[in-house]
Amino acid sequence: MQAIQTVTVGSGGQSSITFSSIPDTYTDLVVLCSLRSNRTAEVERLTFRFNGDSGSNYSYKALIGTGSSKFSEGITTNGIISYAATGNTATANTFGNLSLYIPNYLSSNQKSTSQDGVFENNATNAWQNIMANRWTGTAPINSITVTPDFGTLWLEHSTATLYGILAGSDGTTTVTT
Amino acid sequence: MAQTVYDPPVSTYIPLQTITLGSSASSVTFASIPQTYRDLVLVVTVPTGHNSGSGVVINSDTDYSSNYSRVAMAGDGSSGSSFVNSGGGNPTANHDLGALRPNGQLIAQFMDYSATDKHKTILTRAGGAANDVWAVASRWADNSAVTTLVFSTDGGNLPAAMVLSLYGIAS
Repeated sequence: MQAIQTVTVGSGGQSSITFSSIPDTYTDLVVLCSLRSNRTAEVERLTFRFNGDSGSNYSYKALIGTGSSKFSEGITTNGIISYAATGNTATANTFGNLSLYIPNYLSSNQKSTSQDGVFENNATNAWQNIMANRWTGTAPINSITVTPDFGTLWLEHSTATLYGILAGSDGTTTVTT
Repeated sequence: MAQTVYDPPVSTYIPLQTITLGSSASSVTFASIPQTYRDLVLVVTVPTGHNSGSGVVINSDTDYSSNYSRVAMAGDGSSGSSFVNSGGGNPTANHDLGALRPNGQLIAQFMDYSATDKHKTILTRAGGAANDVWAVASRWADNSAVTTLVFSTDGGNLPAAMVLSLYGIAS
């Protein structure tokens, strides 16, 4: 896994984080985020979009735990959503965190992704989600944008890092069918 | 906006082997796995149309009743559930890692696989957006180092176009 780029939000915030011109030299991609928005709430929902596609071309199944209850949901959306960011009424200096795994991002088939994320507010409120996501686009992924759904800005010190993972052979391990 | 670019990049997922199935197969075997990493990660991408449970056999150990156990939780879009050693998708012929779903994926991490003084733990995320999502914690009750992995399904053959990649994670 190789770090491709890290974005750290500076003073004043920014409305979205975008990785563009993603190289086509890897097999899989991973995005790790630490996010807090200016929404007047404890939790922020966020959305990933690939190649600027904001159509209803995404779907998911999620399992979510809140510390006191669990539930599952799944719908078609206009992006890959997550509940793993804090809003601006959460305890100061707390950020939500998530990992988004994107295998075979250069494939000409639909793209499946896997996501783990958590938002936690000083033991008063928490959401942990695992998700299976799908984007029906068949083009290779060359850009990824993450935006807050209710707030308008990612706040200072929010970060997102894009990693590339390369498959291949080490010359020792064998694989057979 | 401040950006940090790592140059040269630092690699932590070391590719060991990958295979794209040209035709359906009953199983895929990774063997001669080096003992030089801390963890192993298996990434499986499932093509359209396949829908079943998955399983893994470690070091040819087929004593499923005694040496493999798991706890799982799953969400199907309307409700959440949890299983211990049984439940949806539990295969009868091998040890379950989780669901293989159309346009889905499975990511399994074999923790401390080369240790010879502990049972092995496997953490898996699996599922597909059209079906369900799974998190599974498994245990192989053996202190031996993991040298081979045989991956299969309880729903017939592994389909053509399935991609399986095995990585070593350096400590």
